[in-house]
Amino acid sequence: MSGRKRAIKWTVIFFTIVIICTFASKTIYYFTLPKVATEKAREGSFTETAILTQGSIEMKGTESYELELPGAIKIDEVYAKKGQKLSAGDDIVRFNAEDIEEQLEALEKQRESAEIALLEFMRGFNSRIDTLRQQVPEGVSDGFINIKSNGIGLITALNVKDGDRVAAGVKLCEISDDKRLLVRLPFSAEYDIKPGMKAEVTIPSAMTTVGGSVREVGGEIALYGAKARMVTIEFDNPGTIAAGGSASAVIEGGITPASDGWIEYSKTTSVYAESSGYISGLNVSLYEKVPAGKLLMKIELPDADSAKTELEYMLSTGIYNGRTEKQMREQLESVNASIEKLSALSETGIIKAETDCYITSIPVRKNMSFMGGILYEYSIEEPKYEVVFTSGEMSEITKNLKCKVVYTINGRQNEANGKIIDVGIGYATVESAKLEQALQAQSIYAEVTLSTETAMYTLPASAVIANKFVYVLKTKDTVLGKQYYASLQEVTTGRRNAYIVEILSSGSGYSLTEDRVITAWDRDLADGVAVDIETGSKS
Amino acid sequence: MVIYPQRKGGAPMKKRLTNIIPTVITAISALLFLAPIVLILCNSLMSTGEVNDIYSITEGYSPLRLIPKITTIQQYYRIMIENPEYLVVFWNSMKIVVPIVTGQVIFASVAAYALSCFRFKGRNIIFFVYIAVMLMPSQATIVPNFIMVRRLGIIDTFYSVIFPGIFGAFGVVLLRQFMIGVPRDYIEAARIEGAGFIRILFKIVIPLVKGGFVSVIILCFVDSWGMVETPLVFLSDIKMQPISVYLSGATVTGELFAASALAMAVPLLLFLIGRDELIQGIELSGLK
Repeated sequence: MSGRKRAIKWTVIFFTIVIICTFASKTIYYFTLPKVATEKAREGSFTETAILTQGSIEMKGTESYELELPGAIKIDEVYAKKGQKLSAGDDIVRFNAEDIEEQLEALEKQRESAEIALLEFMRGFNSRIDTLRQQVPEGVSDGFINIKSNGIGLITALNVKDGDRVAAGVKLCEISDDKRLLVRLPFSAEYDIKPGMKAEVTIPSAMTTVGGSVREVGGEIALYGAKARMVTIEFDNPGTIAAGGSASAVIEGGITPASDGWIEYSKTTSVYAESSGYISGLNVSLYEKVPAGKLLMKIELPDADSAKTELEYMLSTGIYNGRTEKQMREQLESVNASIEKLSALSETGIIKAETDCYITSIPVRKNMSFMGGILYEYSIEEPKYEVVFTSGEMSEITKNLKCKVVYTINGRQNEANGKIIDVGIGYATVESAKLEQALQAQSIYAEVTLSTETAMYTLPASAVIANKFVYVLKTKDTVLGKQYYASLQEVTTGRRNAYIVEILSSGSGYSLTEDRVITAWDRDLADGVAVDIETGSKS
Repeated sequence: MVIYPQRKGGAPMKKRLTNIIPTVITAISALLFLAPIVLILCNSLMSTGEVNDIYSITEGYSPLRLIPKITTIQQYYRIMIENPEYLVVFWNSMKIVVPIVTGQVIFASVAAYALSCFRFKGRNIIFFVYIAVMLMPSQATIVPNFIMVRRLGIIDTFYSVIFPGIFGAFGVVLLRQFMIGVPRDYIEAARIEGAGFIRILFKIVIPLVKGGFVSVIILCFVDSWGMVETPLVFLSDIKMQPISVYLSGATVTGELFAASALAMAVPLLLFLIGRDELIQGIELSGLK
């Protein structure tokens, strides 16, 4: 190959390479340029918000129409729809008449059962209360009942000791009045002895005589083949005389008894155990003189605490066997109401609106078997929704502030406007008319607008670097034509939030009204780097 | 009598020395002329970082380094793949130079044909004017040219550079010298045979002075490829700049050697294609 041919061949190769590279390099160059989005500074508003969370939503003023049924009744027709406004008397649902008759019979049986159940409940409740009251006598404290003396006197009988088990009603001790003694003597019935007659009582063992008077004259009795009367003579002043010894007496007029008698205490009172238990803390001994009200002993009542607790619980709650009288009565009333409703239904089988209302929910449909419960829900006024939030930034929340309720259903976010209608400790209530869907929301929160202020120039927060710099889009003429490039410019910033930053002023290299600012870029930028505009006007 | 040592079968030593000295001088001259080209080619195979390291010295002279630390085509990758600017200005040059060369060859061939083959009054004066214009530096004619192209309304277009280039005097003078050498008998014979002037030009004159045309093409191409002042003044739009202007104003040191090599490649290839004719033309015309 000659030198010329070789040169021509290399020339062809050279130009081929240059042509290919020309197309390739332009493509690569524009592909590698950072793609940027731009926009001009514009007026913006800074809205201070507070977020409320953990909301629970309910329809304001919604009431339920419930129908208690003993079994299923087929629905022949449903006339009303959700959201429909009804007038009083409008048809809502028509039930199958034959099913109603069957259910009425079943309801009658239910009513009988409910009445019987109520009676049995009351009987059982009262019986249990009585039992418990017996187990817990008055005066019980910390499981003990105190036994006190009921008068001044001597302990003349003491039947128990510490640790003895006693049953309710057992005599524990006797207290006798040692200031009043008497003697019972048989006198012949021939004597006319009357109460109040004076007598002289002779006590041989004491070798003394004391005055007395007839207190009681008994009926005639047979004594040694003759008729006699037992006359009780009470000592006027017994002094140191003690009971137990023998005595005789002469009633005024020289009347003498048929035989001697024994000196007795005039008044002896017995102390009984009020409840079954164990004697504890015996505080007296036999023939000890005790004042009135002295603690004689205690009876420990092992079951008193639990009985007292149960008694108090039953009296305060009215619960017996897990049920209350109110429940039983409500159950009965419910059955009665159902019977009443079904009786009214039995003629036409149609449920009618009781008043003008809005249907807020009607879960039944034609041909379904209604088992009882909520037939439909309604609202007297146009339905509104209330969301009660119990968490979030509540410190600055006040009434009537506007807010945006955001709720999520199946991952899709929805919004509705509302306003704060009530604020209290730990809660804030938002009202909105557009939250029908939110009843099924998986999560719900509110963004409350606390205040709104406008700013003359704002930029997206993503455009401001280190709160001080922005990349301004500039152009220059290059070999490749008009070329966009990023120019790093300093700015003075003001207020900012998560979305926008207020620009107060800028240097001479950036006109707030004219220049566009790079707000987003897909790779690193530097001052003077050529860029390609992806979004935003190129003008 | 001085007796010079003589080698067996060789020329006398004095004669040999007489031959060696011009050879050495020529070789040294050739090396000096080649040095910038070698420097460009060697440095174009350095990495941009290495080039920047060498030529970023602000005090004194940069060291002359020919052997790259790491041989790479990074510079070529940059100018041919990564940054399209060099190729854009390369094609700008082609857009300017190719029309100039084409136009000049066409117009110069006609003018030279007239000046060499026709005898008319004032012919020598016109040729003298051509010589005078050719000898004038381009800087002297740039102002009237600028006024002219502005009047024509073609300022800031490629035409503003192409038209003054097309009507250059150099091609006319060079081709006239070639055409004078065409035997008059050939032309007279053709005229007797009934051939017209145009037919004689294309069928007889041009084939006989093919070497002259190649010389004109190459020399005109090189001249236009390297012009700076005219496009610099006439083309204010930066995206229309030819490679010569772009390189003269380029600031990216690390890529300039490869860019220079790229700029150098086209004239070099053209020279290799028409080397024989060019040498012949230069010998004949005694120019350049």
